[in-house]
Amino acid sequence: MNVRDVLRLALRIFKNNRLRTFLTILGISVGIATIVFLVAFGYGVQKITVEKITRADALLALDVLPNTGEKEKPITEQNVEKIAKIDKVAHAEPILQVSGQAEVNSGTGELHSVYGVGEEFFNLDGTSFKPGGSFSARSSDEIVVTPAVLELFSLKKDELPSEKIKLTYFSHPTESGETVRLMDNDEYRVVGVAIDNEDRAIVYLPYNNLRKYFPEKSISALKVKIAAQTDVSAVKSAISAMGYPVSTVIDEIEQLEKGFKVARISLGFLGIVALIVASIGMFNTLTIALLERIKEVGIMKALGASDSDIYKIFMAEAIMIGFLGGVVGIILGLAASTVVNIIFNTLAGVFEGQKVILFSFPIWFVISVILFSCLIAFITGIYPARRAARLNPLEALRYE
Amino acid sequence: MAEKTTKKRAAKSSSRAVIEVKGLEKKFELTKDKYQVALQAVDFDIEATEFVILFGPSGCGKSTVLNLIAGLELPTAGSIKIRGEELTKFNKIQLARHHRTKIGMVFQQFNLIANLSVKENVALPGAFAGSNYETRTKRAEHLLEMFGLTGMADNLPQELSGGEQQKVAIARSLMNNPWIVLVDEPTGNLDSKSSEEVMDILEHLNQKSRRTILLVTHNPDYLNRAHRVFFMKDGKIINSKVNRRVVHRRADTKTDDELSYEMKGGK
Repeated sequence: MNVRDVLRLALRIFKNNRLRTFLTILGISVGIATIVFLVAFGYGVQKITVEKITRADALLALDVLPNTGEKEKPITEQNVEKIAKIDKVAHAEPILQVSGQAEVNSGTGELHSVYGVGEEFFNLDGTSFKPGGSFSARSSDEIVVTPAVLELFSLKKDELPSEKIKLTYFSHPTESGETVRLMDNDEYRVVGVAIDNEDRAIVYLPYNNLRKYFPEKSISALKVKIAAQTDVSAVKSAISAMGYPVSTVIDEIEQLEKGFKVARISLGFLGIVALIVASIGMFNTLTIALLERIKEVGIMKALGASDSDIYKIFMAEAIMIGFLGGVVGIILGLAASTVVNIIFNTLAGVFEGQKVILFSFPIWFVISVILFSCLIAFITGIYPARRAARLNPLEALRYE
Repeated sequence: MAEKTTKKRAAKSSSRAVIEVKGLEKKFELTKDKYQVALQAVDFDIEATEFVILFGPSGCGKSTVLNLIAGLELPTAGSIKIRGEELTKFNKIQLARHHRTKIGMVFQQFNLIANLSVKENVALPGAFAGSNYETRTKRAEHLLEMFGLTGMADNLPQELSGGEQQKVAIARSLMNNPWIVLVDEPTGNLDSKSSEEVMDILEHLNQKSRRTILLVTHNPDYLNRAHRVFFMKDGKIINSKVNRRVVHRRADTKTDDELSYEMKGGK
């Protein structure tokens, strides 16, 4: 019997017991949809996160931190010079971090941190600005702030304020426990608003401006720019050899990806549980369908159907259910995730959050889900199909 | 006397015999070492184009003989040869081929498939034989036309009367143009008018299209339609009778059969 005839006979499942066929397909679909929804969510969130931290320049940057462990080693200006001279290092950007206070129109507000950075810092960090940009080289009265700083003074977040900002710095408590309070004599002009995902109130000012007030302070961190991506690991190990902990964006991404993989697997596992339940339902349906059709199998065998013809008919029915379950499941999963995304973005709109696409459907994932669904159906179909194929024709004919 | 005649005829016509049954025995296991004997020492030959009736009370084993020849079950002992081929030695594939090309079966319960149309039911054996859709649909339409059922081709079997359903079943048995048609109590579920009609068709099939027919019945009214009748009781053929009134034309006689056209594309 050829494939078309097998399909013609198998297609009867959509003519008889339509409701049962529909419910079986729905059962599989719900299982598949759950997997699709959860895994797509995992991919989507990963994609957003990685996109946020990945900028071309950021990928070429290393973060060097002072060693605060047993082999304590602060970053000194001399060591910055040394690191800058390592082969393939394009640039080393020292960062000073202190706590501080800002003052606008004689109102004051506590800052999370004050950073003294060079103008290259923002490129290396992958900062995005809205509005404005980095301060220019050798400027001495320009600063960059995060939106939270503007919020402190009830200034509009989406435009550069005309007001000048005054700064006061606090050194870390000394051994005697006293905090030194240093007032900056300059007034600063905001030239850029840097997006900060953690919503901290941070002021970035030119490195030398801050250095003036803290000549002895060791460097808080160092951003190192490397000439080419391929040199990252070499430079990383060279700096590590000096005794400093080093992290790269790539490390972070790898770390994140590991995390998301675990998340995806756990999400997928939940979906698989749903699918197992659906498979049991399908197995049940196929077995009952067989019991109902024992006599039919007997008739077909008496008319000359071979065991393999019967096997193929039952198998074709199972795989059709599986395939449709996969397709419908993907449609359901897409629909559910679209609805959830719309709800999420509406809420994000209400609370002035960022609108994002929460779900991602890589094409290979969609295809594998359909194949997977067919495979499940195939496995589920083996037993009933084999049982049908092996029925004794005479007993089957007498079965009522 | 009658047995002698059978033996003489068998000896004479063994070369022409389409079905040869020798020493057929069938036992059903009841418990571990208790058997029920359904058939024992059954011998007979049936010539091509013969119409033979197996007659006897229910439980005499006549349906078992039919099922054994159909290859639906295996005998405990003995041999069944279909045109010289030993049926009891067939493997599963050969048996399936036997079912689909050498024999056609007609049952008391019609055994039509409820969710296929009349035409699809008739064409179904063609699908198992690997004939293509167009060819077998054409042949099914042709067969239905012969039985005056063209108008019902697209109906479902249960929308037809019992007599019509049995005609559909007969049409289906002819789909793959078999040598032998095995008929098991074809009128058991029919009223007398439909019964007569069905028997007329079977007789016509035998006389006009030269099918070998082996029919099982417990209705004595039909005995004079066959060339020969085997009387069965308790698993044995106890008597046989050659019907002088019905002349058996030899297989080599030319026929005006329009049913026996070869199926194109069939296997």
